[in-house]
Amino acid sequence: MIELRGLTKFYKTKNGRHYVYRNVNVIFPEGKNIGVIGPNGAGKSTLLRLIGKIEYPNEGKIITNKRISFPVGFQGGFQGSLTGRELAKFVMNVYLTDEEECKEKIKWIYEFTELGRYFDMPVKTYSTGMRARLAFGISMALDFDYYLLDEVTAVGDAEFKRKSHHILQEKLTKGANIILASHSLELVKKFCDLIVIPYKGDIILFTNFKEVEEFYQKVCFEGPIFRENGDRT
Amino acid sequence: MRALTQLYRVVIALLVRELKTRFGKYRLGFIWAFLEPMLLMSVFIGIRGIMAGSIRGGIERFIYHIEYPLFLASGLLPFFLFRHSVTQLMNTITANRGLFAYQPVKPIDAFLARWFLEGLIFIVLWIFIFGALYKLNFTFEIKNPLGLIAMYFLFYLFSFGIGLIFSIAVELFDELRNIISIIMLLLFFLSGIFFSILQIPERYRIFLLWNPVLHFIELCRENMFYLYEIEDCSYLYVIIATLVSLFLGLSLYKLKIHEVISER
Repeated sequence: MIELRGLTKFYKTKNGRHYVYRNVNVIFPEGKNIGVIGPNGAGKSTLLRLIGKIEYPNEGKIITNKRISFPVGFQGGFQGSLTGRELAKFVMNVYLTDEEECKEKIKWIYEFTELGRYFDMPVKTYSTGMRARLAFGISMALDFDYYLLDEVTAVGDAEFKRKSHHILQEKLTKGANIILASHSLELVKKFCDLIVIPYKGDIILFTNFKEVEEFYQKVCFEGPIFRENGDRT
Repeated sequence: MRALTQLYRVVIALLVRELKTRFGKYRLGFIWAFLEPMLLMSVFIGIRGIMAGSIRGGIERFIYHIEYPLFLASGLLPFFLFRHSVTQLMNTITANRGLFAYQPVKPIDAFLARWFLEGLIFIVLWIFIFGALYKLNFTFEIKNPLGLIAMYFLFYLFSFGIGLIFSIAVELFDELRNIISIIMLLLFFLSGIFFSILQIPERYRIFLLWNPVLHFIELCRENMFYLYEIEDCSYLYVIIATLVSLFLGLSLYKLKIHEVISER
């Protein structure tokens, strides 16, 4: 279970505070996979970063007793001057105690990500797709209760996509859950039981895909969301 | 106990990565750490030499019974410990931001890792410089080894506090970076590195004695050399300065670190 209690998050801009979330109260129930959808700038990534404790709310808190992964996405979580192998080693050393286990996991990551010789080159030389693959591989090498995924499942060629969906499915059958942020309703439908849509500073929770579709059509494609989030003339 | 082993593991991992990025590929960082104090010492000895009419004059000059190269080294090395610790700590957050995504990595671990590394570099540098001076026949007996180590350690703690304060401050107000580098430059000239407070006329000393860094450096020397007695510098003052800097640094950390790492 993950509970957001009285959560408020804003960013300081030149024109004052821009609120992403305003006093949000939500409970993500035990054992459910959660899809977060919405257009760019709606606050999907912010939600993941808050749950992953990379960012902290301005008010309120996030309560959970689960092991939560770092958000896996196209950006962040990287120290550009390290090589892929060094980064993998660093993360394994930080999360795991057993030296042998670390070595095995690094080997697994090397094989899974298919980065080849790039694995021993600095991460800053990677393309965005390669970065996402590395981040995904590192995350999947570790055991968490919740995996936070930001758009990454659509990375790479068809073969890599198949492989990553396969490993995700495997994690899910082992009892782990995911929180998946995406543009794509299709992808979310495949993996998730609950849908969450950030809307006007609040978070709306759906259990019914039909309702989601109606709401998503109405809200996102008619496009008032940006105006109502931003200036209020 | 678990928290401690966790802390240890994370700090070691960060230390390894710090070594890799600082000294790994180019080794320039490592060479520079040795080159900088040697270069500065030669420059100051050269200046003394010109003033005395010959390089020998620069080398053989005594400042209150201490040969000038020894006097310089005894001031420069602790000052470098201070300056490098502070500047390294100041940039910790920017340099490690990407790694805070991994929940076991807390910002304080990154601060500790950098601080330890500076301590290690100081020890190696100290042995190297004074070893080289010893080979060149600048010999002396350390007056009070334990006192000297205690002073170094106190200065090291003081640097940690100041580094924490500056790191949070520059993350909140980026403009402060310029001001801090000016402060560091001023401290270099005002902290008794290449002069002794005893050489300053008594009525002007008060203008220099506000500066805790000068107290630290002179008290290090007092513990190092026989016959070097400094009455103007106070142990109480450096202890209070250390406590205040640690208290302020840790409080700022506690209060502001979440806000600071949330900013992108």
